[in-house]
Amino acid sequence: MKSPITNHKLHLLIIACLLSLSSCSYIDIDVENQLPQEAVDYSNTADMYSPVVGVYAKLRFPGCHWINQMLWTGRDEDMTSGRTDDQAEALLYSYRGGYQNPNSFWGLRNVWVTMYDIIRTSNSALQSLDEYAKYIPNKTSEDYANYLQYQGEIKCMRAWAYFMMVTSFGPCPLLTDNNQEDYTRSTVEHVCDYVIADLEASIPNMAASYPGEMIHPGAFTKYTAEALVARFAMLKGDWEKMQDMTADIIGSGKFDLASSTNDDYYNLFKIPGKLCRESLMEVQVTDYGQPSGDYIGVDQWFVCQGAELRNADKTLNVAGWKFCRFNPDFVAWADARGEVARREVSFLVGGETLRDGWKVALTKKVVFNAKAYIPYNQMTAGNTEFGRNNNVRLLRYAEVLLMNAEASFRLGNTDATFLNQVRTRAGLQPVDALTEDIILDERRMELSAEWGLHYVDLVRTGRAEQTLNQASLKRDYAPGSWTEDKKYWPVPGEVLAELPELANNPK
Amino acid sequence: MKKLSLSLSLLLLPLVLNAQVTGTVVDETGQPLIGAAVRVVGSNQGTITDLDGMFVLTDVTSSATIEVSYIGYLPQQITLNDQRSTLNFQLKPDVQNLEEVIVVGYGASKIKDLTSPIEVVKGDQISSIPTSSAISALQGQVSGVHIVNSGVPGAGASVTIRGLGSFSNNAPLYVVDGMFYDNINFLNNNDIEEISVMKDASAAAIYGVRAANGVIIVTTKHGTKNQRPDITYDGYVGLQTVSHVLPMCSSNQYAEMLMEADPTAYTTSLDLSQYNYGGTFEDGKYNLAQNTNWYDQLLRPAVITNHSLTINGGGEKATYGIGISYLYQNGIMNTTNDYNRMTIRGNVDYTPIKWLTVGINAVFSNSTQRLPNNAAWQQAFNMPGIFPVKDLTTADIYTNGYASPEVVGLANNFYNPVATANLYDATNKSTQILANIYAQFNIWKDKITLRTAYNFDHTGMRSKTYLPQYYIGAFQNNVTSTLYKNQTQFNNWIWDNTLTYADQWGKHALKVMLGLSMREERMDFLQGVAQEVLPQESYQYISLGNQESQTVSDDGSRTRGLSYFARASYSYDDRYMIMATIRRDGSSKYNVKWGTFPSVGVAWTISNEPWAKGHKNFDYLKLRASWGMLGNDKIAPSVGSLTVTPAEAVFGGMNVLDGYINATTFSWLSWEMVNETNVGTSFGFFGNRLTGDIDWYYRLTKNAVCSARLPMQDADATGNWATILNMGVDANLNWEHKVNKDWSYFVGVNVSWLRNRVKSLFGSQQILRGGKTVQKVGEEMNSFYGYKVIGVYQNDAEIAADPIAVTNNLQPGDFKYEDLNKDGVMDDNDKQVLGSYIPDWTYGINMGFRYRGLDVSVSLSGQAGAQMWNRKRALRYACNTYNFDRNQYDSRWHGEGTSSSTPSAAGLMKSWNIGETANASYFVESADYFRIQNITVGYTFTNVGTGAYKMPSIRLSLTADKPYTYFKANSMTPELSDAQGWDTEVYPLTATWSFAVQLKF
Repeated sequence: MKSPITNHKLHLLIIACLLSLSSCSYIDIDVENQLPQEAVDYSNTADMYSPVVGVYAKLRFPGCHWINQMLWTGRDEDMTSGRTDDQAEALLYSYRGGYQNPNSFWGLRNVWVTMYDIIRTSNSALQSLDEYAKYIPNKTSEDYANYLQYQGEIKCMRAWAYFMMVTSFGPCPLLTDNNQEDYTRSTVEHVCDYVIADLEASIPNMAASYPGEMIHPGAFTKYTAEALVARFAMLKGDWEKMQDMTADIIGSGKFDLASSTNDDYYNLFKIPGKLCRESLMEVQVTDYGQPSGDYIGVDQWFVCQGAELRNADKTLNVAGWKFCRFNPDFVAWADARGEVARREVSFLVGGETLRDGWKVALTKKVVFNAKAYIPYNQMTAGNTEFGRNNNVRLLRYAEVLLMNAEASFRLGNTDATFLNQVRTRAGLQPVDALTEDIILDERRMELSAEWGLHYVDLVRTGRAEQTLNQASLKRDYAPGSWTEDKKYWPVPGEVLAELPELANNPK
Repeated sequence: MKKLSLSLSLLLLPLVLNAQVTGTVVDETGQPLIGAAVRVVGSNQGTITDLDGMFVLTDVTSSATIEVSYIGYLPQQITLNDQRSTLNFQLKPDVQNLEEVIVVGYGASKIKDLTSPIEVVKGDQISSIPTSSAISALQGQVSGVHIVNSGVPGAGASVTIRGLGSFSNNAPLYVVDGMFYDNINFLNNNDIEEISVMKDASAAAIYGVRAANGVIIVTTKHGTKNQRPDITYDGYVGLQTVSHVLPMCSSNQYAEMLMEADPTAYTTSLDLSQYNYGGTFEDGKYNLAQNTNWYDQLLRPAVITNHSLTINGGGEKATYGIGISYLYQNGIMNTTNDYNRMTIRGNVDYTPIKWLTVGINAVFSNSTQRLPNNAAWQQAFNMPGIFPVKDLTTADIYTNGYASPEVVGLANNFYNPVATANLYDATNKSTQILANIYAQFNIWKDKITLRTAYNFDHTGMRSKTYLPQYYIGAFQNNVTSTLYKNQTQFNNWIWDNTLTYADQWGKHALKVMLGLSMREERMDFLQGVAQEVLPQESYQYISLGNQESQTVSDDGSRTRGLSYFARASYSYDDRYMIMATIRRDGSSKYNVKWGTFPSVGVAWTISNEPWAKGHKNFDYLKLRASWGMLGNDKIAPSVGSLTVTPAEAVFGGMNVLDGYINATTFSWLSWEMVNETNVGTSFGFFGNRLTGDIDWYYRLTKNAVCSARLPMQDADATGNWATILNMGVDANLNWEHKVNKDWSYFVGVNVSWLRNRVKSLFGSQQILRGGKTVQKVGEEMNSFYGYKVIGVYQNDAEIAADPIAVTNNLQPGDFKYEDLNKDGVMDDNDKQVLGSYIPDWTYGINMGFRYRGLDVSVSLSGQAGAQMWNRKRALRYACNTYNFDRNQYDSRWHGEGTSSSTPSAAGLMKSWNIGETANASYFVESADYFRIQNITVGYTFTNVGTGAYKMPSIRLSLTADKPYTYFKANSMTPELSDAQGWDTEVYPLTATWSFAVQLKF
C-alpha cells in the first residue's frame, strides 16, 4: 500500500482537475435548430419606416375587420346588420334598444381587441422610432425630419383607433405603455384630451401635403392629424379647436371634393378614386393586378357588406354576404331630399339596374352600401370577390367641410359656404343659412355607412333616444328600448373577466 | 480531538475487571435471535449470539455498556453493574426501519437521522404485482403520491407528488442509479431494489432546478459483501379483463329516444336499419333486429406474463448483481396492441485497494409497443348498434367487409369503431442503455471520501405509424396510404463528483458533502413521411413510397447544466438534528442561467430525551420541520430576445413596402420556483406496534409559467406569471403485531389531503381560458367552467314564469341553469367553476396476515373530491343522432316529475342543454372511486427438496390486481390519461388475475 502522503497528493490532484474543468462558459451554448432572431439594426436609419409600415399593416387588418364594420354601422337607425340567421347577436348592439345579452358576443370583443392591437403596435413602433432617433445626432437633418413625420403618422393611426374606442365603448383604458398593469378606464373627456395633445405635439412636424403626394403615397400628413383633432374636439364640444383645425385644412388648398361634373364623384369610393384629392386618410390594398395569389387586402371587409349583382344577360354574378343593409326608409328620406348623384354613390337598391347594366338582386326593400361596391369592369379580370382590391376610406375632405360648418354654427356663424360645397357637389341646391338640423341632415346623408358617425351625431346632440326609439316603433320591432345609459356598448364579457378593474369608475 | 480523549479517559477511570458476562437475546415474542451482534460500547470487544440466542463476553469492565443489534430490530444498550453478570435482551422490532440506511441523493442517511419525509418502497413489495411499470404498483401505497394508471399496454402511469404545481409539467424527477429520467418505464419491477420518494423541498433541494415536482430515487438491485449467491426466479402469468363496461342504449332504446325527440326528423337511419338488417315497426315503435354492442366488439381478455431471474452476491472485495427479465402484456382492445420488454442488467463493485472502490453498472432495456387507436373508444360510444361490424353483402364497396354507417344513413361524424381499431398500425420500439462507472477514494480514515461517477443514458426510439388506404364510406376513409417513421435519440450524461466528510465524536455526529455535477442532454429527431406505401410490413419503407410525397424533417436540442451543491447534517445525541443543503444550478436553457436553491431541516427526537425514556407504550416520537426552495426547468427554453414579425403595407397603387411589427410584449422565460415548508412528526407507540408519520406542507409555486391570452389581445404569451398553492396533509398509520412465531398481522392506512389553488395569474387577470379547462384565481387548477344545472323545467307554467326560459324559447324537459348574478339573463357572467380533476383526498388501506407459510394481503385505495368532464357525452354537440348511454335513457325527462337531472330526449339534441356555450355542469361527473387495489394470497415453502440440496424457499401466490372499482361516473374508468380530466378516447383499465411463482436457489 502506498504511503498516505502520496495518496493525498493524488486526491488533491483529482479535486483540482474537477474544479478546473467546470468553467461557467460550459453552459453558454446556442439553442439548437433555431436561427438567432434577426436583431433590428437601429443604426440603419434607412429602415426607419419599417415599424411605421407595421402599424399601417395593423390598421388595414385586423383594424378593418368585417365584424367591426357591421357593428359600427349597425348602431344608427339608417343601417342594420341585416341578417337574423347568421351573426344575429349583432342586432342586439344596434339601435333596436341595446343589448339583452350584454357582453358575450365575439364581435364586440373583436372591436375592442383589434383597436387595442393598433394602439399597442403604435406604442411599440414609436419606441422603435426612438431607438432609430438615437442614431440621428443632427436634429436638423432630413432623417430627423422623417423621424418626426413618421411619429405623426403612427399617432394618426393610434388616434383613429381611440376615436373608434370612445365612440363605441365610451370610457376606455389609455394604453400609454404596453407593459402597464393598470387597465382602469379613462373618461371620454380624458381620452379626447390625451389624443388631442398627442396629435398637436406632432402637427407642426408633419408634412403640409395631401397624402397622395407624399413620398410614401397615402402616408398621413399634418392635415390628417388636424382632421382627427377636429373629430375629437367635436366629441368634446371644443368648437374653437374644431374650427381652427378644419379651417387650416380648408385653407391649405391641398384638398378638393371629387367633382360630380365628371365621373370623379361616381368613382369616389371606387378604384379610380383611390388616394384622390378628397382623401385625408385611407387604408390601401392591392392585389398586384392579379386575380389570385398575393393580396394585401382587408379580409372580408367588402365581402360582408356585399350585395348580389348580376349582369344583364345573367351570365355573371358577383355576390357578398349581404350583411350591412340600409333601411328602405332612409332611401325614401334621401329621395325626398332630391338626392340623385349621392343616391348612386351611397345605395345599391335591390331590383335596380346600375350604371354598367348590372342589376342588384332582391327587391327594393333591400338596400346595400354602394360605398363598398366596385363595378365589374373595375375588378381585376378573373376575380369576382366583392370589392376586392379597393381601398377603405377612413376620413374625407367632405367631412372636414361639414365639421367646419358645424363648428362655425356652434360659434354663432350661420354662413353655409362650406356646407353648400358638399351640397352642390351632390347636385342639391345650396342653403341660405346653417341650422343644426341642416348640418346634421347633411352629415347623415354625406357620411352614411361611414364609421357610425351618424350614431355619434345622434348621441352627442341628445337626439338618440327619440330618433332611435321612433325608428324602432315604426318598423314594427319590439318597442324601442334605447336609453341614454346604452349609448355605449358594455365592456366585452371576456375582456372584463380578464381585467376586472375595467368595471371600476373611469378616471 | 483533545476533548474526545479527555472524556474517554474519564470514562476509563473506574476500571474494574469483571471476568465474564453471559446473556440471551430474544425477539418481542420471546424467540431467540441467532447471530445478533453484541459489542462492548467504547471497545473493540464483541461477539454474536448462537443458535439459542446466547452469548458470552469475557474480560469486561464492571461498568461497561453492552449493546446488542440485529437487522430489523432496534439496538438496545444495558449498562453493567457489579451485581449482574447475566444480561437478558429483548429487542423491539425496528418497525420504522430507524436504523436502515436509505439513499437521499448523492449519499445515504439513516432513517432516524432524517429531517424530512422520505418514503421508501422495497423491491419485494412490488415484484409480484402484475404491472408493466413499477411506478404503477405504488398506487395507494405512498401518501402524497398520486398515481393515475392507463390501460394501454406498456403505458406508464402519470405520477404527481403533493399536488399540481405547474401548468407545464408536473412529472417528478426520477433518478435511476444517478441518472436523470422522466419515467422508469424501461425497468422491470424485479430490477428494483428500492424506491425512495422525496416528498418535501428539504430532501429534494439537492436536485435543485430539476426538483420542483418531487424526486423519486430508484436503486437497482445490488449484491452485498460476504453474501452467498442469492439466485431468485420470479414469474407470473395473468389474465387481464376490462374492469368496467359502460352500459349503452340498445338499438331499440336508441330508436325510442329518437322517436321521443322528434318522430319525424330522425327515422331515416332506423328505417334503413330495419330495411337492411331486419326488424319491425309497429305502433310507433321500432323493434330492430340489429343490436351491436360496440364496446363488446372492441374488448377481449388478454394475457400478461413476466419472468425474471436475478443473481446477487459478494465476496470480501467485490459484490455483484445481475438480472434478466422479460415482460409481455397484451392489450384488451380486440386488435393488435401489445407490449414486450426485455431488460438485462448487471453491476460489479470492487475494492482492489483499501482506499479505492470502483464499480460499473449497466441496464439494457429493449421494448416494443404496438399501439391501439384510442379514437375507436369514443366512436364506440357515439355509434348506435343499428348496423353490424361486418356486412359481406357490401364487401365489394367497403374495405375488408366492414359494414359502413352510410348503409343506415349515418354519414358525417359516424365511424365503424371496429374498422377504426383495426385499420391502424403504429409501433414504438425503444432501446435504452443506462451505464455508470464510478470510483470512490477513501481519502482519510473512512471519514473523508471522494466519489466521482459518470452516468450515461442512450435512448433510441423508433416509431412507425402506417395509415392504410381504406374506404368505409364517404366520411370514414383514407384515400392514400401514409407511412410515418420517426427516429428519436437521446444521449444524456451526468458527471457527479462528491466529497464527503463524516465523523462522530461523543454525542456529536457531523456529515458534510460538497458536490459538483455537470450534465448534457441531447436529443436528435428525424422523421420521414411517404405516401402510397404498400401495407405489408416488409414494404413499409419511405423509399418504397411515392417519390413525390417523400419528405424528411429533423430537429434537435441540447441543454447543458452545471451545478455546485453542498449538504451538511449534524445531530446531537440522536436528539437534535439539523440538515442544510444548497445547490447552485446553471442551465443553458434560459437567459437567467444561474439559480440558487437552499433548504434547511430540523428534527427533535423527543423520545430520546432522558426524561422521556422508559415510558411504557411511548417508544418513539420525532418532530420535524423543514423549508426549501426548488426549481422546475421542464419548461420550453426561451429565446428571450426581441422578436419582430414581418408586415406589409401598400403605399400607392401596387407599391408595397416591407416593414415589421414589434413584439408588443417581451417574453423572458425562466424556471418556476417552489417554496415549500413541511412540518411533521414520526412516532411509534405500544411497543412500536402503532407507528406513523403525519406531515403538513405548504408548497407555493411562484413564477409559474402560464400561456395566457394577453389582456385585450388575441395573442397568447408565455411568461413566469402565475402563483399556485398546494397545501396538504399526508398521514400514514400502521399497526403491526407479531403475535407469536407463526402468527402476525398488520393494518395500515395512508391518507392525503390536498388543497390546490391558483393564487394569481398574469397581473390582475382573474381567469385564463382557451383550453379544455380554465385557470381561475382562488380555484383549483384546470377547472371546468360553465353553467350550473339546478333542475329541469317541468311544465309550461314554470317556463312562462321564468324570463330566461321565455327569452331562450325553452320547452319542458330543458335544463334550468343557475342565474348566478340574478339579472334574468344567462350569459358569460353566470358561468362558474364546476370542479376539477384534482382530488382533495386520496387514500390507501393495506392489511394482511401471515400464518406460518401462508400470507394474505389486501389493499384498498381511492380518491374523493375529484371531478371529470364527460367529454364522451359533451361531444353530442357535434351530432344529434349519436347514441345515448344507458343512464341518459333511464334518467331522461319524459313528463312532469320524471327527472330533474337529465333533459328530455329532445333536450339532449338542443344546444341550450348540450352546447359548448353552456358547458353545462351536466357533463361534470364525480371522479371519486373506491377500489380493491390488490388481493394476494401466497404460500411459502422453506427448505424444499430432497437429498443434499434444499431450496431455501418456494413461494406460490395468487393475485387479483384492481379486481373491483366502485365509481359513479358514466365512464369506463375514473382514471383518465388526460391530465385535465377529459373523458374521451380512454383505454379502459384492466383487472388482472395472476398466478405467481418465486423460487430461491
